[in-house]
Amino acid sequence: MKVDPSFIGTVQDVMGTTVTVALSNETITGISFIDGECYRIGQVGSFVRIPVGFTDLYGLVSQVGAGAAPVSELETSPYGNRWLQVQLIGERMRDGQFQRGVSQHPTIEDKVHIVTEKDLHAIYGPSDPIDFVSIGHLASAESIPAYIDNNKLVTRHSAIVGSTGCGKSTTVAGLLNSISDKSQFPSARILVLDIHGEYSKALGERASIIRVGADASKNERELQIPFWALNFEEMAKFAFGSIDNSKYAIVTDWVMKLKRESLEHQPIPGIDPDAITVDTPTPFCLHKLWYELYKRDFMTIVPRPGGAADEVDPAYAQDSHGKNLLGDAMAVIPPVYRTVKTTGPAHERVQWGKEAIGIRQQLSTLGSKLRDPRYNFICNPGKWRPDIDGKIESDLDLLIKDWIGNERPVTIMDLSGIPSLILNDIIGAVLRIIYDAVFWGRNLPEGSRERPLFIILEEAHAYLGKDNSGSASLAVKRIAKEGRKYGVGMMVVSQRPFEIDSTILSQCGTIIAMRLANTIDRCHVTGAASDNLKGLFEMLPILRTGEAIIVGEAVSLPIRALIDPPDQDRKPDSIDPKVASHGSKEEGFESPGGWNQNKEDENYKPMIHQWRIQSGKYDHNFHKSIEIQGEADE
Amino acid sequence: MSEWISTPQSSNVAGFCYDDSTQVLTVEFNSGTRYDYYDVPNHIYEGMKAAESIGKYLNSEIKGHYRYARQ
Repeated sequence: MKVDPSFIGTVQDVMGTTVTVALSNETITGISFIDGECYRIGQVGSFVRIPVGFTDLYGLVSQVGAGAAPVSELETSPYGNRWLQVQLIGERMRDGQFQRGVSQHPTIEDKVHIVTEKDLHAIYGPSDPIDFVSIGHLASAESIPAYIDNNKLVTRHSAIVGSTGCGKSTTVAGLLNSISDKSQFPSARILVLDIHGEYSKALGERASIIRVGADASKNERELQIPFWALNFEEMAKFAFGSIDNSKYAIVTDWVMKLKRESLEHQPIPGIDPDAITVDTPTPFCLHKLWYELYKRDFMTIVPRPGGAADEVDPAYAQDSHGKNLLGDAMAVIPPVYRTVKTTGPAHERVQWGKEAIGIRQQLSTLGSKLRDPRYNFICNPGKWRPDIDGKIESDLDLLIKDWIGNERPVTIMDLSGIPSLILNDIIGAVLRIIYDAVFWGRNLPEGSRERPLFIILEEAHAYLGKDNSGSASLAVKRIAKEGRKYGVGMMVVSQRPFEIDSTILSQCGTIIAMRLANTIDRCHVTGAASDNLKGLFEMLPILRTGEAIIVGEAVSLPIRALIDPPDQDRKPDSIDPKVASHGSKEEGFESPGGWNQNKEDENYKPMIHQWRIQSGKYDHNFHKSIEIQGEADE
Repeated sequence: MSEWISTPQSSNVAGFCYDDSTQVLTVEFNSGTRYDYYDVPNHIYEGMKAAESIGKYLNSEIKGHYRYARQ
């Protein structure tokens, strides 16, 4: 007759951290009632308690049944193979705190007990309420909140992985809601790099939104990334594409010259024009750089009339009024030169300029970028656009303040309007600018050591690929490696962890793994987890939507938790489109679209228009006026 | 812009409102997604207010007749 209803079996074998338990014959019903609550015995992923003297050891059930039986167990037992395999994870002194690691091992015939809700409260309870925030509740017991250590979640980096449709975005939004709660964390500082523009709705009042093509009525701000805040390498890559090393030097010289010129026109206190380097984030005029380099590369010359033999003039072509076609740097109009002519009298001969660099193709790339409105956010960044003399209206402090210092705890940088060709470089540049700023400002109250910064990298596989040596990957690696010291943390969110560089993933101290069906992805995550409880990851393919296994530094022990989703009307904008819409003609449908509804009177003109203007925002009045115009024309 | 009308009795529609000056009818579904229907005349909006079943009215009188876009 068993006395304690929580008793389930005895220890039979101990090897390292693996303990094999023989279940007692009283447990054949598979359930046990303790304090009126029903517990199922021998659930994989559940906890057991093994009292040893004054301490309780805690372990996690990793295997049940025949496979868990010791090899020598040959005789068949009357009730089947009633064995459990348990991984030890931690211990708790009587009335003490739960801690990871065990100081002693159980021995043969030690009693094994089921873990009750009361025990769970003690294990999962926040050891220090300041550090811990509740983000949801345990999957196994709704009454027990799941706590994570905010300190470690932020500074030791983290990763959220899971297949599409497993509730990743919702989980991120829920998590951000929890850790940016105004009453608890009034100075939270979170930056979300949102590639698909999903999060603006989910975070609502908490977040300010920066995007290309901002809607001022919704209080959004325009995304501006001044080219002169990039370092030279980033700037040159954006502006010119690839460039020969030998020609690099000439471009460098010109950038230096223009930066100095700008500082002469508009000095920055404390910055010596002679002490700056080509990477110093001071303004210069990119238009002028283009114009000057263009002149050098395309110039043709004529001998100066009446001058010495080596004196030459630029051979400008002339318009119908006899004016030289000098072009205009700010309007990106190149000067026009006369074509080369090597015959005829000496004074009529037109020759190539003497100092051509040989970057004509690169210059035309830059010229077209300067003219392309899609690149306005970088080439013509509003208040941060230097004029021809390199003078600017406002400096970088306002830019950084917009990004990481605005009045709301979360800033969403919506990158959906950025051409995908340069997305990688832009993300790299943004991260580097922010990191450099907070790194050098590390001793100031605005720096991230005093007010840590948490960067969420959504859809990270898109730019942190294994064989992607792009600047995004470099910047993220830098943050992953040294960000902790300066209070810059990041959270990598991805549906395809296999494609993420393992250096980055292994730096993530906390892994929040959601349903993950693909074996390769699962192995990759398991390999990166810094925890010995990899057995837990076997459960990844069968997690429910919104359910996550959290392992690592931010939790006192691995949790299988359901993370609180944001309110119904605050879901991220990534909900699956309805192919079959629920409802009926009598009661209406749950959405206006779907294959089972009558087709709309379709008009594909607006679709093409949205594509051309690269915006998802539909302006009905505009299209109506065009339609009316079209009818009038006919 | 008329005031927001919540429709807890409807199984699909969470609420709607109407802007007289632009003739835009905004409908929020229970999923939380909002849609704008354009050039909806006032009487249709009045009809929607009076309708017994909002979902049915939306489906028969508005859907397919007026152009919409997601907000």
